[in-house]
Formats: sequence, structure tokens, C-alpha cells
Amino acid sequence: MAADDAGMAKLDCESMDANKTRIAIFLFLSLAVLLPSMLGASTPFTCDPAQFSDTMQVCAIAAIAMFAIIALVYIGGEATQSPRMLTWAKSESVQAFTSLAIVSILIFAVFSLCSFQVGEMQTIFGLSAMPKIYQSAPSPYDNGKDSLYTGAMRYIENLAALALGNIASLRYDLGAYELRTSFNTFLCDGICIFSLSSTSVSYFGGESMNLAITNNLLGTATVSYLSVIFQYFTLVYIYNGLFLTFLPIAMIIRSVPFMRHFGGSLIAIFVALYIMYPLMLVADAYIAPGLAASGASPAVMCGRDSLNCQGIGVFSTSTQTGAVCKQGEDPCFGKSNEWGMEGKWQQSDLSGLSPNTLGRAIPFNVLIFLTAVFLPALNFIVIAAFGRELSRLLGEEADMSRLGQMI
Amino acid sequence: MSGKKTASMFRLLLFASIALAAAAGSLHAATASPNLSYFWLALLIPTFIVAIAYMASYAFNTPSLRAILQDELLQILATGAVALTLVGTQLVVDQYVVATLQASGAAGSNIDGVMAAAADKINSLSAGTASVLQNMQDVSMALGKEASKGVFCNFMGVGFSLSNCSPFNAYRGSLTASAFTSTVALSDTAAQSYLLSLARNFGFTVIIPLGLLLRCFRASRGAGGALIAIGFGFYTVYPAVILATDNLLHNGTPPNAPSIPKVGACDPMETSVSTSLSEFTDYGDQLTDYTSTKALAYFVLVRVLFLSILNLIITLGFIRMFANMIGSDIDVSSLARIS
Repeated sequence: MAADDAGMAKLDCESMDANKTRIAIFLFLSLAVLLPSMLGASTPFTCDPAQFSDTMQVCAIAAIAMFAIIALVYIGGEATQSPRMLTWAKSESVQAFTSLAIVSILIFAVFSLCSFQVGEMQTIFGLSAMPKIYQSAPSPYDNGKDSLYTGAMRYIENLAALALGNIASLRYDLGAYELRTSFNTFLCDGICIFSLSSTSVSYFGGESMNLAITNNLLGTATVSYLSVIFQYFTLVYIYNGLFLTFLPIAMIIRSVPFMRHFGGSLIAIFVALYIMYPLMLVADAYIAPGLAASGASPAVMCGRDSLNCQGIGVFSTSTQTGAVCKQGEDPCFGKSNEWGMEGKWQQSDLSGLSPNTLGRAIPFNVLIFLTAVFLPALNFIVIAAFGRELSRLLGEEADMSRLGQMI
Repeated sequence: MSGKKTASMFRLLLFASIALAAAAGSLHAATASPNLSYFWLALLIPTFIVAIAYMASYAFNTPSLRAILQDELLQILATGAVALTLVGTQLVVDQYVVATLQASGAAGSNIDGVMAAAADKINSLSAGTASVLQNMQDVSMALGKEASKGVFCNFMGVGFSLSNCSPFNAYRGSLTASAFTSTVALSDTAAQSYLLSLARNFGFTVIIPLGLLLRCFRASRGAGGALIAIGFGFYTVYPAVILATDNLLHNGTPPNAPSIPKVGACDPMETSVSTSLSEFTDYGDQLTDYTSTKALAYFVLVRVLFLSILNLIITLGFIRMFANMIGSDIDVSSLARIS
């Protein structure tokens, strides 16, 4: 009876081993079929196969080294008949295969996202229109053919240009208010020819109030711009340093027996930033026009400093214009002498010194702030939640909530 | 036993889907824009993946995988229940708000739900605040012009200057501070309007379906929960809070802000000090009139500024609590700071 039980147990073990082999073969065959098709789909920007091959080379070296160590320990265990060394080698070989599986899934996920085109998000969510920045921008990947990574970068670049344009607009308004408030005129009542007496008036003196308000708006605009620039460089770092350096290091660390949990956490951080961050930015690109669609009339920006309102398409889609650019036309330019100064002897040409109205500058500034600061804060909340869950799954729990606080 | 449990789970999921479809149909009729067909997609994709994996567990004879998949199926079921709850709650809130507004005679023909009612409310607050700011600008322009008036006279090399309108400059600092506050209030109303627009356009079409999809997978459960909480918080809770807090305030206080009077013309050649002083104090009395000052402070400080902060704090508090309830521990302190 005992012999039968032992026999059954042996059969179960053999059956389990056969299952593991089948699963491993199935996984590797699947990846072998899928990876070349992903490589052939598109190769833009950070999805350059050369970068992948470098990373995979490092991962392969790390895996071979790990298997070599395991083999050595196993041989040593057999030679010395040490059950501890044998057990260690067996459990580590399972972990090494797990690491390989994680690498394979990661590479597969990244390739999938490289082949994902931003225009497909419109189809997936059944949205009526695509963001304007993905339609007609001067890019080889136009008409929604940007990959996730180029799409995220394009959105951030447009937003940064727009935030800078907003600063230029407000800076111009400040200068205009400064000049106008200092403008002074002498009203001659006729007798001044004989008595040299006159009344002086500052027609635009009351605009010192607008000066203070615009100064405050400029502070908010600067914060928005800095936030976008922070995100731009974060994205550059993620695309370059994180992928080329951070991932291989994380893989190697995960292969080291006593550093496994730490390595798992690093991989989770990598995945959260490299996959989720661009994904959230592309989602923002789709969402931003919806922010501006609140009123019947679109938000207005005055183009200054020959920046030509670059990036204004962030708030528009093919069917809806959420923000418009005013250049060289009333009331951004050319409105002067509003207080009936014509007909007097003393006049000053204030053409081109007419700032934007506060009623338009404030909502546009708020729009930029929400897009550049509020939405990224939401992004980081989601990314932190994703990273925490994944790191818990792969190793130690990593608290990424501080990233959101940087915004 | 295990098979029975799985079968009952599938039956429950099917029931949830049917109920969701029924509720979605009702909601679609009640509100303007939400397209809930993507809820289906978000639930069916993970169900399909789990089903495939379940079959694979038999193919590879791995009972341990089946146990995990049953747990995952339970999570999909829970996600379906969450979706159903969201749709149901939205439906109830919409119907309640429309019925209440129609009963009070406040609802126009374009008000078909809580979102439209809140947007209407914010638009009226925004128009009121813009009007206050424009009034202050006009007053400031008039005040700056009158206060700057001065007389210079020169006869036979002897000259003098007279600036008896300059005392009006004393009011300009306070007026600037008031306008500054109004600017912040206008920014707040614009921000609220944009947030409502965002939620209306993408809450039930992108954010919540994406959250439901992510919540069905173990690794992205936290992110999914966060997205669901954010989407629902801004789509349903935020407009409801806007309406509730604003309606709770009215208690005999005029809802609209009064206009600040403009300064009259100042004669710079007036040599009587008492006349100038009288003009100065008279205008000061008008500016600090208790009734108009109280109404203005109530509108700008309480009705717009205080309530906008309160609304956002309540919404963020709900988002955090709700995310925690559906399995996501998120930190909204960064958003609270922005607010």
C-alpha cells in the first residue's frame, strides 16, 4: 500500500514536471512567434530595436551568469552530497525562469505599446474626434499614427510651447500696463498759452490694478510652465536612462538571490513609469480638448513674441475648437486711445500697447494650469497606485506617491 | 463543488451584465452624453482572458491556477457590481436633481441631470464674478484718472502745482486687493467649469471604463480603482456637491453682487480744502456702505471662493474613501494642495 502511494506520488511529480515543461515550451513558442511581429510593426523613436537588443543582451548575460552559478552550485551539491545546496539550486532555477518570464512579458508589453498607435484610442473608446495635435502636426507619424511614446512626447512638447506662449502673452500685458500707467497728458484749456497753466491727467493710471493682477497670473503661468518642463525632462529620462540603464540593473538585481524583492520593486517602478506614464499622457492629450469645451465660445490666447501660438491645438479636435489664437488683430492689438483722447493737442500713439482683457486672460491661464498641473497630479496618483500594486506582486511594496507631490 | 461555485459566479456576472444594460439604457435616456456601451467592453475583455486562462489550466492540468482564476473571476464580478452601482447611483441622482429643480421651478429645458444643473450654476457664478471684476476695473480706471489730476501754473517764472484730487489714491490699494480676490474667484469658477466639462466629456466614456478594465487585473487593480473613484467623484459627486452647498447657503442674503459706485468728477482747480475733503469722505462712505459690502463679500468670498474649496475638498475626500473601498489606496494630498 505504501509502495502504491509512493508510486502515485512519483507519477504526480512526473506529471507536474511534464506540465511545467509544456507551459514553458508554450510560453517560449508564443513569445517567439509574437516578438518578431511586434518588431516588424513599427520602429519609431524609443522603440528602436537596437535599444531592445542592447537591453536583451544584458538580460541574456545576466540570465546565463545566473544559470551558470546555479549549475555550479548544483554540481557542488552533487559532489558533496549537500541537500541544502541542491535545494537552493532547484529553487533558484525556478526563480531564474520566473525572471526570464517577467523579462519576456515586459519586452512583449513594450513592443505591443510601440506598435499601438494613438489614433487607435479614438476607436477603442468610441470618441467622436481625435486631438488636433495628432492630425496635422509636422511629423512622419501624423494622422494618428504616432506610437504611444512619440504621442506622449508630442503632447508634452505642444503643451510646453503653449505654456511658454501664455507666459509671453502675460509678460507683454505687464509691459503694456507699465507703459500705459506711466502715460501722462496735459490738458490745455486755452488760457495756458498766456498763463502757462494746465491740468495733468493719467488716463490709464487705474490700470495699476490690472498690473498687480497680471503679475499674479504670470506667477501661476510660470508654475504651469515649470511643471510641463519637469514632465518633459522626466519623459526624456524615462525614454533614455530608465530603459537603457534602469531596467537591466533591475533585472540583474532580481536575479541575485538575496536582492530579489528589491529587484522586483525596481521592475515595478520601471513598468509604472515606462508604460503607464506615456499612456496617461496620451490619455491627457485626448482629455485636454474636453476640458476646454465648457463654454459656447472658445478660450482666447493672444500670440506674442512671434511664437505664433504654437501648441494651441492641444485644446482642439477635428470637430471642435476649444481655444483660438489672436494675432495682429483687435482686441489683442491696435486698440488705443479708448478714453477719447483724440482731438486734443497732445496725443500719444498707443497702438500696439493694448493688452488682453483680464476676462479672457484669466480663463486661459486656468486652462493651462489645469492641463499642466492638475491633470499630471491625477496621472501620478494613478501611476503610484499601479506601481504600488505591481511592486507588491513582484517584490517589496514601493511607495511612489511622492512623485505626485513633486508636481 | 468548485464547478458549482464557478457556475454560480458566471450566473451572477450574467445577471450583473443584464442589470447593467438595463440601467445603462435608462441612464442614456436621462443624461446627455454618457456612452455606457464601453462598460461592456471593460468587463468582457478580462472575462474573456480569464475564460481562456481557465481552459488553459485544464489543458496544462494546473489546479492551482484555477484557484487563482476563480478569485480573479470574483474580482471581475465585484467590478461588474461596482459598475452597476455607479450607473444606478448616477441614474438616481440625476432623476432626483431634475425632479427637485423642476418642482422648484429652477430647471430649464436644457437641464437633464445633475451635471447640466451644476454647469448652469457655475456659469451663473462665473458671469457674476466676471461682472464684479469688470465693475472694479471700471471703478479703478475712473478712480485712477480722477486721482491723477493735478494743476500746474507758471506765470512770469513763478509756478505752483496743486494736487487736491490725490487723496482718492487712498482707495486704490484696497480696490486692488478686492479685485485681486475677485480674480482668484473668477479663476476658481473657470477651473470648476473646466473640471465639470472634463467629467461630462470623459467621465463615463474614458475614465471609468478604463478604470473598470484595469481593475479586473490583479497588477493594475489599484490604478483601476483610482481611475474609477476619480471618474465617479468628478462626474457625480462633484456636481451634486456644487448644487447642494450652494443651495444650502441662501438664507435671505441676495445671491448676486451689487455694483461699486464710480467716483464723480474731481475738479483739480478747486481751492477749498473742505470741498475736497467732503468729496473724499462721501465717496468713502459709498465704498464702505455696509449693505453692499456685505453682499459683495458674501458673493465673492463665501459663495464662490469658500464653496469652491469646500466642494473640491469634499470630492477629494470621497475619491480617497471610495478608492479605498474598491481596493485602491491612493494619496490625494497633492490634489488637495492644488485646490
